[in-house]
Amino acid sequence: MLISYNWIKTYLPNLTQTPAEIADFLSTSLAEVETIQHYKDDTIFEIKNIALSHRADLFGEIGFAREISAILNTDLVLSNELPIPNLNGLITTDLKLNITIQQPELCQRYSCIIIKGVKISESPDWLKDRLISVNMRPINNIVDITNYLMFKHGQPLHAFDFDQLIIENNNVGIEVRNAENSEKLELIDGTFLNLNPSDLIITNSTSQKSIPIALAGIMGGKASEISTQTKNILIESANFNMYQIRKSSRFHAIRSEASLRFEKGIDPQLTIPTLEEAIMMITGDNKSNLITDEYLKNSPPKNSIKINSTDLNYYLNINLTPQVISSTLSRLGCIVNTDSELLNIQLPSFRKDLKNQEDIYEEIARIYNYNKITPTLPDRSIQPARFNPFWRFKNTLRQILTESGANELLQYSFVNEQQAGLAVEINENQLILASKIDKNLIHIKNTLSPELSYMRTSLIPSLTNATIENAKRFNSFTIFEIGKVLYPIDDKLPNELDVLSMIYYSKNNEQLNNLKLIKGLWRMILDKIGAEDEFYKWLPFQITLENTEGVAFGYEIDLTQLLSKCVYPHFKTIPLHPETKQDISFLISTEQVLDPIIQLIRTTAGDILKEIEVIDIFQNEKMKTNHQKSVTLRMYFLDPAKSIADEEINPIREKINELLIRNYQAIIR
Amino acid sequence: MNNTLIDPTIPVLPIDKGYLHPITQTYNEIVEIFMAMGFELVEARMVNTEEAVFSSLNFPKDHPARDLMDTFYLETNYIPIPHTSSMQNTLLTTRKPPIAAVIAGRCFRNEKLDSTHEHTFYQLEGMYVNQKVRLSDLIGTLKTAAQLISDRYQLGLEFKVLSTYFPFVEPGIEILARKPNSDKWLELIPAGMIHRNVLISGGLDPEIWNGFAWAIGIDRLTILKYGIDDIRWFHSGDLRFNQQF
Repeated sequence: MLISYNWIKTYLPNLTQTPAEIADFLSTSLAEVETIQHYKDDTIFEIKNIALSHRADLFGEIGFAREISAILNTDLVLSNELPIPNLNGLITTDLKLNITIQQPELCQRYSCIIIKGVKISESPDWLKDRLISVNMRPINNIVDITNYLMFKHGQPLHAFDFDQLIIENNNVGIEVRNAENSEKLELIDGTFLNLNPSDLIITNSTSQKSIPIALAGIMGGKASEISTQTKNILIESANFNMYQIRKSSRFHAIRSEASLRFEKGIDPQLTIPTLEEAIMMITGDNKSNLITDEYLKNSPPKNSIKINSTDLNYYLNINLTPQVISSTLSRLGCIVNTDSELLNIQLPSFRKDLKNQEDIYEEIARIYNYNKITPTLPDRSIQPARFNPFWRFKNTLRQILTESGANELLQYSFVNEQQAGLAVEINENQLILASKIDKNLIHIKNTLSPELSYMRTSLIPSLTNATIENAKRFNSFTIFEIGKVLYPIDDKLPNELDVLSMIYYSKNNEQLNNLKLIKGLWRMILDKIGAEDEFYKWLPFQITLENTEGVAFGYEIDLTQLLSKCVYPHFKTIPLHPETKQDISFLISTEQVLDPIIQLIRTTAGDILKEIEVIDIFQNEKMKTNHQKSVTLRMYFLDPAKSIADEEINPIREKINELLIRNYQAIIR
Repeated sequence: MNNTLIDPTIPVLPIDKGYLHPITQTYNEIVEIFMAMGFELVEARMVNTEEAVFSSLNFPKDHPARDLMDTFYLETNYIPIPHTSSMQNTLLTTRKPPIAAVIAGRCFRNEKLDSTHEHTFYQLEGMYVNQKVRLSDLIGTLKTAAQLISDRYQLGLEFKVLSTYFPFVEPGIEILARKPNSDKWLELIPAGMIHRNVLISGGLDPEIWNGFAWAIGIDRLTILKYGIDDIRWFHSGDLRFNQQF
């Protein structure tokens, strides 16, 4: 909304403050002035429409003058414009206007008048300047007057070329109704509309038909537009339902200065004074008794609020007398009756946003200026804040990872269709990324671009993109993200999982070392958080990197699952006796994976075997030919109660050798 | 020992180090401030219902105030949250007042990307509900927190309070901040007294209980803190960005 300093000053005769000062006052007490521009000797303030969406009264310049009058405690003097010279125009009494409102809940009031014999021409300079100052293009005197009065009062007017309407026996029928599916309407801006039953339209009705002439509250029809040939006009000043106008304007994607105002919910009391001023400007006459006015009063809204000034002063921590409070509210248009501390406030019809005592407190607080209120802190008994273990767990993981050289990234929650619906699965301890989520459940209807059209169900695809990008600049790195993914099941509110995802990348193609590194990192995390055994067995994904040299491996885990299987550390006695270590070397088939062999050794040896690690895996030319690899494992034996003698271990080793030969055709070296 | 054999000026051996994302760091620092003030921490759902996002927060259907949030919709009509206020109703219905909580969450709005606009951003919502809460308590709490933030980041900020409008608060205010020697005021914390309709939706009697709520833009604060020139760096995934913090 644009506010002209010169314009509002005409209603504030005692205003002495500069435009810059006014901008400051508006920002502090109403809504932030976003920009200040100049037009000729005028200063124009802009406030975002959205900041005023509860205040239809502020879509008229008078509304701002009223605000300034309250903020500065200065008089508001409203005045009407004089007739426009040479426009002529006579109110006609020989025709009867028949207004029919089919949907009273969508159109509460329809006021109109017929004026004959107008002379269409350019507007006088002062009127054109007013319009240009608020960014409206001057068109001709009649259209300009309707636009000017809309900007002044906040009430849109529409002028029809009366000679384009059908008159039947000196009767002019105007109907306000919902459109029908087959109906069409060409608007002033040239748009052809296919109307539908959720549109509200104005029609010219006769005993035979009912022809659409305007999309109610949004835009008039081309056929009855004011042209240079226009001589007789019908001016409409109506009140339409805010929700209806917004719905219809959004549906057709047509917005206008009129729809902008109607969708805020305009005061139905405004139709008459705005139309009266139009009549005055066009005819020089103020015969308001000739206006045809169809007013279907709804149940009256709550129009008074009682407050206690002591409560108000406590709530705001200020100290105003009932008289000062009353004076501010009167400047804002209320009528206040004061009975010592009690104030009975009658609300003006243009302030439908005032409903409760808090609304009154806000009026006083903002006019008083929030910056002058002495701050306090809430009066509350000491109580500890509830602890959030999950947040702390995630931070612990972040700390462990960054301390070991991993970098945290944040990636969008949106992915493209190719990446959509992938989720982690475990198949015999091997992590795999499988397509298993119904894409319809994660698709975004009003997406920004195809790249961002689904919500992610795994962090791995977006981390893979980051890996490819960073691989252009770094030889090796570990990246991770902790974030939410969706796990939708049918069309209920989707489950959300907090997952940790990490990828290790290295340009160097020694896969084995890279694999060992990521597994080491995984194990280190599990060690640090005290996770249970099952996670240690997990084997990472191998990540496919398109057009990128190097290899990448990754893990992803649901953190709720992980946290539920972490145990708080308990002290274990540190053994006094040394451990005994023994190595075992053997040849096995190249394809044979190690995990089952290690498991076999663990079960065979029992509790006495504390630790087992892979010391070496290698392959010489001869082994390659024989399709074999050599593996060396180191076993650590320990009995907390005593030293272990070789005689105790030997039978275990023999048993292990035997099983390796039998189950894996191993050749013990 | 012969010390002359060692050249102490030899180059360093680089140690691999990892970095936390700057958004994470800001979150942790700000959450710490509010926890010290007695606020519990809750995380927001990423996707929520129309009821949680709008209706329970006094946004009527087809009301122009909904334009405040350029909202994404899933095919299923659930909403990737446009604000962390979407958790207010959950807190009101699952906690017994007095309630003092901050809510962390990633939010989404259907905005075109440029250096100052992101479709993905981060909020820390705050909420306080008790008996006889005053508007001056809101201003005091936020000014105290804002001062602690300014001190922590050595920003030397100056603050002012403006009137503003959001459907879920009444009165509605905004705390603005300005760096020393700057004439540009930045919107730092939109806030207000919780609207009685929000309390009623949450099952509380507004004649007994009232309170205040606010939201801090974590990305905006991080930009202010480090002087970052373009909001798009946050999700760039570029390690050259992350490794600066």
